[in-house]
Amino acid sequence: MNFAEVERDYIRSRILPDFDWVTYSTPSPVNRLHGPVQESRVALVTTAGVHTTAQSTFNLRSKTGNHSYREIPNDVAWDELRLSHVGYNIQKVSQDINCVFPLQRLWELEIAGLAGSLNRRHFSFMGYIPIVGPLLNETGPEVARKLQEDGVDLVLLVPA
Amino acid sequence: MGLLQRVFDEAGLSTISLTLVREITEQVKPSRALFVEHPFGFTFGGIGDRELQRQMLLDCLHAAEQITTPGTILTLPYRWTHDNLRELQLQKKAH
Repeated sequence: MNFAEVERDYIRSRILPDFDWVTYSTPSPVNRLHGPVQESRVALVTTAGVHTTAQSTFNLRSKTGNHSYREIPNDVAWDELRLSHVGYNIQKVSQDINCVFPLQRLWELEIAGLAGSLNRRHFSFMGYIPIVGPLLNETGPEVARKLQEDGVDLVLLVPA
Repeated sequence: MGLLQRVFDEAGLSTISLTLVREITEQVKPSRALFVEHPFGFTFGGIGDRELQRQMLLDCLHAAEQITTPGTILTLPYRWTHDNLRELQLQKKAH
């Protein structure tokens, strides 16, 4: 069995008996950059459950997951970032949150002129979401609108 | 991750993603993704590996300029050599 089958059976046996992966028959479109990446506005979106000390943690107890998100300011104080997630070792990864949210490296690439300009905010979800309707119909489109309002040219998505 | 990427793609945003599980990304079919065989939680490699973090970000930016075919999944060459964490995670024997 591959991991998709292992994970599906795990969720079915312990959490949601009728769980299955959402699949699509055709890919979503590639929207090409309007210019070189060095001149693009870049935003980071993670599903690692990143949040700041001032924000509420993600609810990890809901069997149906948690489709909420947190806005992370680009000028966040690095030591105020925290992790809440059920799917990986947050205690270990908290030693270097760049492993799942490499914002410090993006700051450096921006200064070096290699990553364009960084958006004023980034977005964080907690990736355990077996019931995907609210993500696809509510918070996902909401974040898409915010990225468009900000004039973001490129969204970099990072799982955990 | 791929589901969220599809929402952004359909909204007209330009996106690039990383994925740790190729078979799930193959089923969701977001616009373009880079697959790396790292453990969950260590998407950009081990603790404090600044050079790999930087290189993988540059890979993402480069791919965002170069990939034009929807549904493309490229494999990055990096390997996790610290321990067998990924193998254990893929069998749900560690997290």
